[in-house]
Amino acid sequence: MSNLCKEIELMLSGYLDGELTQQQSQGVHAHLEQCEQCNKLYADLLEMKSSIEIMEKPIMSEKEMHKIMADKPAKGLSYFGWVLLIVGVSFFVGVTAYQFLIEDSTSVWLKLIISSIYGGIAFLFLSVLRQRLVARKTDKYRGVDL
Amino acid sequence: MKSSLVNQMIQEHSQGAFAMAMNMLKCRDDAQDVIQDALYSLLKQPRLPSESNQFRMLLFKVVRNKVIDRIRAKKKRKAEVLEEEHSPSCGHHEPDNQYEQALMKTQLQQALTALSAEHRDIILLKDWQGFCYADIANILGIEPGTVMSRLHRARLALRNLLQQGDDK
Repeated sequence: MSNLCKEIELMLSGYLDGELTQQQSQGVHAHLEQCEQCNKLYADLLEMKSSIEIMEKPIMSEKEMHKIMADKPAKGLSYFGWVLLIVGVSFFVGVTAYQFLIEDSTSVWLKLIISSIYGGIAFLFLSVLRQRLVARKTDKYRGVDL
Repeated sequence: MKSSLVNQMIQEHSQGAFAMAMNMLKCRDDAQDVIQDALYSLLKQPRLPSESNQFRMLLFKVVRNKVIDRIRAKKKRKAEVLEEEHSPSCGHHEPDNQYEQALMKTQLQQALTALSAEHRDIILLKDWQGFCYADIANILGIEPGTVMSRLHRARLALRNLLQQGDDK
């Protein structure tokens, strides 16, 4: 096998699949017309490809397909659950904070200090939450277990 | 995105993905589980491609990864060592007989079964399922430049097996 044959051989699959540039493709085409050995290999590969193309594909029956589609998780239900939870928690936090701020038995300074501690925790929580949500949206490997 | 479009794309491409999963797992129930699992994962994604070919590629990618996960999990569970990655793995040891028989029907299919999983998958993705090189690179998670050489090695290996079969 000549060096040219070796070079051409590496491109035969690309030629077969129409994935070469026009120039490469012309090069392979010209060589195949002259070289019997490479032409034989090409013919074999072409025959193999054609046989695989017509190989039977197992299919799912209507019933099986329906089963898979019908078992789709209740996305709407969980969304509704989250909305309820968030509304409830925000309302509870709001009312508690309001009551704490208007009651008179605690001094203003103490109120400020306690508010800043809770406020700090809340902001830290929100920043982590935001970070996670951004990662969730942009991570292209999400849902891929590999 | 309109869910009717997603549903339509699922209907359109699930059968092909099922055929691929079936070829890798050799078990009808497992293949269906994998398809369902893959669709579930896909539907959880905030953004799905609205273009049919892109969706198909993503579906095959997820299905393939789920199949590999499943094979690994089974290997872990079973103490016995299976001969190779994609060997028959149906739990109840009665793989889809009809399919198995059909698979053994031709010399070509026997040769494909004898091929390494890496080689078989790339040939099937190209010639059986008709993906382009760029999509194959994406599905297999390899460099686009590697596809042509790996596919060519795979085809030479398959040709070799077929010739050995002829010599017998």
